[in-house]
Formats: sequence, structure tokens, C-alpha cells
Amino acid sequence: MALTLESAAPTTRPGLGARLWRSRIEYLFLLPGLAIFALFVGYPLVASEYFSLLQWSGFDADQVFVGFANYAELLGDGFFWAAFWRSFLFALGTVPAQMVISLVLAIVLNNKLIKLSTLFRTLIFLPVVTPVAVIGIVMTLMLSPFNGPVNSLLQGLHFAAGPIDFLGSPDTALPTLMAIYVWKWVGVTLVYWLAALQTVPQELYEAARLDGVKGWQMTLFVIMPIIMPFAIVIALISAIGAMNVFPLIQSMTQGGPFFASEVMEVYIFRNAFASVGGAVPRLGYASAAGVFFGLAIMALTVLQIAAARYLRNREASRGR
Amino acid sequence: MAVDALASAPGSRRVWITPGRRMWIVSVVLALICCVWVYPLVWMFSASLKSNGEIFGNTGLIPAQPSFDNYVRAWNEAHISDYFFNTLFVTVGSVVIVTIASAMMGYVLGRRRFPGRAIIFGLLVFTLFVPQGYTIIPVFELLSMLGLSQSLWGLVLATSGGSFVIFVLLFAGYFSQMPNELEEAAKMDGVGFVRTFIFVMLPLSRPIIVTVVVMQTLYAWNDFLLPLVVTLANPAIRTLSVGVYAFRGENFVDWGGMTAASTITILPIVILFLLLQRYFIDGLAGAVKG
Amino acid sequence: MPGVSLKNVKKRYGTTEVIRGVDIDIEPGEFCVFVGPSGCGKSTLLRMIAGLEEISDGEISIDDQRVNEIDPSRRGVAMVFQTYALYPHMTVEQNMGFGLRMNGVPRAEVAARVATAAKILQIEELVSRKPRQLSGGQRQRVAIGRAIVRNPQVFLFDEPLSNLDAELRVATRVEIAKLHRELAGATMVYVTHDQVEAMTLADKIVVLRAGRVEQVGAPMDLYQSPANTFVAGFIGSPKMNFLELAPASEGQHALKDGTTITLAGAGGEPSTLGIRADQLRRVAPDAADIVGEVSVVERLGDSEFAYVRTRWGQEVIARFEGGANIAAGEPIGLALSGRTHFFDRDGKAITGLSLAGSNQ
Repeated sequence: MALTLESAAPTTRPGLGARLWRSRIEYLFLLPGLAIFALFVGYPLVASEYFSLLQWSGFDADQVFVGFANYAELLGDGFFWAAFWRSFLFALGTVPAQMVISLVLAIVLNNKLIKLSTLFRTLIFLPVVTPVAVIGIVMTLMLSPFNGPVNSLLQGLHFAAGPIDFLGSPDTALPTLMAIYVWKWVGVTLVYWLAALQTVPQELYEAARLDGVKGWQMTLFVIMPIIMPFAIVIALISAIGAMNVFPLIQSMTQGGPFFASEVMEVYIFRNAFASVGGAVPRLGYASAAGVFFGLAIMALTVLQIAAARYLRNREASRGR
Repeated sequence: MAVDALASAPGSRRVWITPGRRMWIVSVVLALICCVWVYPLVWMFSASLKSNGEIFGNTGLIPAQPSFDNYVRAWNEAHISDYFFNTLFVTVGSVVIVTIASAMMGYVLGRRRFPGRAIIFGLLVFTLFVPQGYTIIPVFELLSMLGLSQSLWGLVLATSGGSFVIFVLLFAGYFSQMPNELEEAAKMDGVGFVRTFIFVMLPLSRPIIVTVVVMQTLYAWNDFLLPLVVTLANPAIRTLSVGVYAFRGENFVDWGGMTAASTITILPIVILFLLLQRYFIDGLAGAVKG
Repeated sequence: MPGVSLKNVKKRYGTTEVIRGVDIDIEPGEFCVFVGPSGCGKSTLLRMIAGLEEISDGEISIDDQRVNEIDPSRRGVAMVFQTYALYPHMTVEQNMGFGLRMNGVPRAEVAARVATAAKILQIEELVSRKPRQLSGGQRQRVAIGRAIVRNPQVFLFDEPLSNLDAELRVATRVEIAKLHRELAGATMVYVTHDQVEAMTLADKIVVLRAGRVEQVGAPMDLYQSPANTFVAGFIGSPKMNFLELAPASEGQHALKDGTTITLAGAGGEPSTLGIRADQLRRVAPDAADIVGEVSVVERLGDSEFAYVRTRWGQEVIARFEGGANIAAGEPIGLALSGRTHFFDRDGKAITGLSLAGSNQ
């Protein structure tokens, strides 16, 4: 019967202690998971906030409580703000490109008449499983101004007069990194879109075909409206992903040249673990930057979700 | 009328683009795109079989005299062998921990009612929306406190935290959809909580287990920031990701060695992906549908 | 020999009471069917006997032993679930032996008991298959087999036929009846919403509504002497016709169109007359108690059911022999005859009354 889920609920509620004791096996099962969660997910979230109020070089002994001094300093730090905005710029530059390219690929690959569509999907997904550090190395070599294959090709075809230092020049470093990022992650978004397309019932295609709807019309007027709700989720996941670009940038430019590709994570890492020229690590200051940025992202996420809700509700009320 | 439009359409268009031919054209274009797409990886593999001189000569993809010298050099002299086994240790260790812990937690959260369940669920979901890349400092500090900041065990533990919440929710979702009757039948048979979990529930959740194993393997094998920080002071426990990164810093003209080390790094994970593709894809797709 | 007895059993979810004090005694070896519309609490009651639901109040005992606090596996009961609840990853053999193995029964004995059960159910050639390789009927047998190997004193069936198609349902119903004879002495408690299953299988039927027992008795007792309008309407197909009665002159009662009927006997003031479709006779309209027009005829071959629209707009069902060739649209007169039932204002049966005759 429909009531079975409630079956464990006692009818006359015994005391909390008794209920806790009765669930002891459940708690035992939770223990390992809760330990991992508390240590490596929960604790870091709380501790960052505390650390951000300290002046601290990494040794417990010289923790000094400084209140909001770190935050005050952040607000006046040009490097911080540059990295802050660069992170958003990075997301703005990559997420739309990633979504559009993968959507087009998904619509094409979703057609079962395409020969070898599974193989194509596999190939496009390959960069996703490749470790970023490896991509960093291979791409650095490929784009190298000294005998790198890309520059050889460009010069061979006379597209470029001399070698282009893609990663070594402040003007091209960030766009190049963005392109590589999109290349690496399009496979994931592609899989998301394909999953969304699977939810379009086959009958709908057939009905539309009988109505005489042609290919591009089908895409625009039949498929797109159905998979639009997924677009918001996919955009959200992709945007969060684009904030986690440390491995790619660290392994290729370390934020350089001249901080031209220093996004927030790299800035935090540099201040916390790899201070330039042997400067003292500033864990408290870096934590403050992390907290500040984390809050900004959370605010954006909440906004995005609220916007999605609003749109969906409006859609729903219009439907009625 | 729609019927008229349909009937007249073929006449108004050039007839040689039949739907079948169009699919062929699209397929060929796609094939070209895919070639360019995977070219960097192909180039990497090709370079790993060449001498450095041949690489700089840009002589095309097929090596004149393929040799494994680069691999031998990277494996032995650049400690890639050590890094390989470090990575294997971290990956296997974290996969074991994560799979067991998340399956147990997911089972209890998905199927049982007990005081505090809603709170735990809420906390889990909340942390999904918090970017985790910014918690590296406390994680490192925690490992230091536990005396594990320079050990592979510390790396195993911290790597387990990476996607843990998602896996728990995956398991919880899967278990909650299972029919109650299976558990009740086991109860009638006098099979206790723990044995029901081991003999009935776990075997039934095999698809999720494989997905979790595969995703955590991918995560652990490819993780970079955490191993980088943990191994800053102890190069002996570097993982492959950090190892190849360091390799470039130390031998930046040895392209052959670098590409060989890179190939060693990606080979296991690519093979795993090709074998278990469905689970990679399903695991990811689940995130959108959920 | 085991019997099951329920004494003032209650079940509450929070403040809503779904079982409101139920007393049932099931004799050893009896086939007892709980029947009632969905939501009447019959499955909950069964699950309380099984031990899958806590008992809020009252007492359940099996073989004169209070089992309220006893673990399901130690009550000597086995359950066959509606969805069969076979473990998908185990073979038929493993499914049937799982409980025994988990409880430390030696391997050889498990094998022997599984083999015996498989033989009884004639599924010997299926034992190494997985559930998904079986048809619905075969899964049903395996589920029953899993119950048999436990050698229970009481079998519990929770709507076991509802997932089968119509034809298989009839066949399996017969199988279960045979099984009850074969496992002589085993008490069976069976839950269904289908009164046909209840009528055909039961030694004793318990009719439930809204968490209360409406009537307990042998199938034909319930059919012939329903205790109230609910039971009268629930048991038997097609549904019993109910006609409203109003008191007229001395000893006489009027139907809705004013036709009067005379009742003999005493026992209460009837407000409803119940008559089954097979007790209505076709008569000339001027001699009829009910005059109306046939709206639909269902021809089943051996019988015909005519839906007759009365002058006051009620639809009454009458049964005729096959070949009577009643036509839709035809005016028809029906006479009350044979067994009639009378119910008072609260729907309770009045036993002392009978039809004396009718006029005009």
C-alpha cells in the first residue's frame, strides 16, 4: 500500500533517545561517509572563513588574528581585482562557446543516420578523460614558437609571417587558454545535450515529419523548446566548471605572462603556496580571497537558479 | 496545405541532395572535425616514438624509426615509474574508500527513516553549490594536523572528498527507487539489515557502483591541485599529473621524454574509458537529468 | 495446529486511524480471504500479521502465541508479495533458498527443500534461471515456492494475482486452490480486492471497509445473507440492485414511482430493498413491479444482462438466460421474486422480512 514508506515511523512517538538508539545501525552506516564529508567538504568550508581572519604564514605558532584586515587589503589589491574579473571573463568567454558548439554537435550526432556517430562522440570526449596536466604539456609543445607544429603549419601556409608566441604574449595567452579549455570540455557538454535530446519522444519527430516540418525548422521549433529547461542546468554546471580552471592555467602559463592569465584560483595558490621570489606564504590572505570569491559565485548561482525558477514558473502559468 | 508543400518540395530543390547523400556529407565533415579534434593527442603519441631531433624537424606523424627510448628514459630516469605507482595507489585507495562509504551512506539516506536524515540531506545538497576549488588551504591544513600532509595516505583521503557528495546522492537516488518489497521479503526471510545490504542491495546497485568507480578513477587519476600542494615538499610521492608537470620544468627541451611521460599518464585512463564508455556517459548524463 | 487470531487490532499513522479495532479468528488450516475496496486496510492488516507493520493497539496471535513483538522471520509466516519481490540478481534456486542459507541451514538441506518446493510447483526445469527470464506466471510460482521452502504455519498472500493477465489469473487461482489442498493443514490468509477471487478461494471471507470488519463468513453465507448494503453490493456480480422504499399504508411499502409491495414478517422499518439480477423475472408490464425501458444489453452467450431504466431514472440490472434476445429500446416489465433483501435506514440487514406479494 502507499503508506509503506511511513512504516518505520512509530505511531506514538517514543523519546528522542529511544529513537536514536533504534536507528543505531543506520548511524553506523553513515559514519564513514559522514567522516569524509565532515573532514574534506564541511570542515574546509567553515575553516576558510576563520582562516580569512588570520595573518598566517603556515606555521601554527604565528597565527595572528587580524579581523577583517585581509578583506580590507583585498579591496585595495589591484592583482586581486584583476584576477577576480578575469575569472568571470574566462567563464563568459568559454561557457557560451562551449554550449553552442556542443549543442550543434549533439543535434547532428543525435541523428541515427549519421555514420559512426558513436565513434565521433568517443573521439570528441577523449580530451575530457585526458589529465589536464598532460593537455597542458602537449598544448604547450604544439603551440611552442620554437618548432611547434602549429606555428610550423601557419608559417608553411603563409598565414603568419613569424612564429606566434600564443602562450608567451599577454595579448594571446588568455584567449588561447580559453580555446583549449573549450576544446577539452565540449565533450562533457555534448553528453549533457545528448541526454537532454533523449528526452524528446520519438513520436514527436514523426508527428512533425508528417506535418511537413523540415530539418532546421524541426530543430528550432520542435526540439529547442523541449530541451531549453536543460539549457539552464547545463549552463549552471558549465559555469561552475569554468571557475575551476586552475590545473589548465597552472600547467601552461602559471598565470603569466605578466599575470595576463592569472585567474582567481591561481592568485590564491600563488599567495598561499608559491609566493613569488620567496615571499612569505600568506594563507590567511589567500583564504580571504577564496571566501570572497566563493561568496560571489554562490550569489551568482543563487541568482541563476532563481532566474531559472522564475522563467519556468512563467512558462508554467502561461501554459495554464 | 501541408500535403501540397510536401509534394512540391522535391521539385523545387536540386534533386541530387537526397537525405542519404546529405548524411554522408555531414559524416565526412564530422570525420574531418574529429581528426583535427584528436590531432594533439595523436601528435603526442607520434612524438613519443621519435627522437628529439626528429620531433623538431616536423617530419609528419609517422616516425621514421619508431623507438621506445623516450619511454625507457621517462620511466627510469624521470621517476615516471614511481609516479605511476603513486597514482595507482591514490586512485585505487580513494576508489575503494569512496565506493564503500558512499554506497553505505546513500543506502541509509535513500531507504531508511531516522532522526537527522533531513538535516544531513540538506547539508549535502547545500555543499553541491559551493565551489570546492577554494577549499584547498583548509584541506592542506587538516592533513598537516593529521600528520598526513606529506604522505600518500593523506592524498588518498583528501582525494576521496572530491566528488563524494555527488556519489552519495547518486546512490541515494538509486536506492530510493527500489521497490520496498525486496527489503520486506528479506525481512520475512529473517535476513538482517547488514546482510540485506550486502547480499540484496549492493548486487542490485551494480550500475551505480560501476559509474562511481569509473568517475572516481577519472577524478583521482586526473586530479592536479591537491597532489601538487601535497607533494610540494615531498617530490617522492608525486602523482603522474604532477610528475609530468614537474618533468617539463626540469627538462624543458626533452620533448620526446615529455610526450612519452604524457602517453604513459593518459594510456590507462583512456583504455578504461574506451572499455567502460557507457558508464562515463551515463554517470555524467545523470547529473543533468537529476 | 496453528490458527491466527486478531483481537481489537488497531493501526494509526499519526492521528489517522486506518485499522479501527478488528477482531478476526482464523481456524487452523483455513483459507481466509480479506476482501474490500482499495484503501480499506486489508493489506495493512496482512502486513501487520506478517510483522512488516507495527501494531498500534490490540493483539495478534499465531498458534495461541502473542506475536506483536516477535520478528517477522520468527512468526512462522511466509508472504507472497503482489510484485513477487524476487531478487533480480539471483537464480530461482537462490531466490528460494536465500532465507534458509542466510539463517545457517546446511547446504544439502536447503537444496532438498528447494527441490521439493520446485516439484510441487512444477518449476523444476526453471531453477537455474534468473527472474527476468521467466514469465509472469512463472515468477508467481517462484514467489510461492520461496514461501513454501520456509515451511511456514501460515501463508500470507498480498493480491498475488493482480499483476497477471485475465486468463492466467483464472489458471493461477485454481493452482492456489489446489496448493491449499496439497499443503494440508497450512493456514492461508489472502488479500484481494476482487470478490470473485474471494468467492472461489475462501473457506472464510472477511469483508473490510475503512478499517473495520463489515462481515465475516463462508462465501455463500455472505452471498445469501449479507449483513448490510455494503457487503450486499460488494459480493456478487453483477452488483445487487437497490431500490428505495417508502412506508405506505399498513404493511405496504412504495417504490419510487408509487408501486406498492406488501411485506410479511417483522424486524424493523425497511428503507431499501435489495435484489440480485437473477431474481428479477420478466412479466407483462401490467403485472410488473418495475416497468422500464431496456437501455443496454450485454450478451455473454450463456446469459444476457439487461440494463433497465426505470420510470424514476434508476438503472436496474436483470439477468436472463442466453438466447432470451432482449432488445435495447424495448419496454419491459420486471417482477420481484425469489430471494429479496431488506435493509434499514442505516443499511443494516433486516432478517425477519420477506416479500408477501405485490399488486398494481
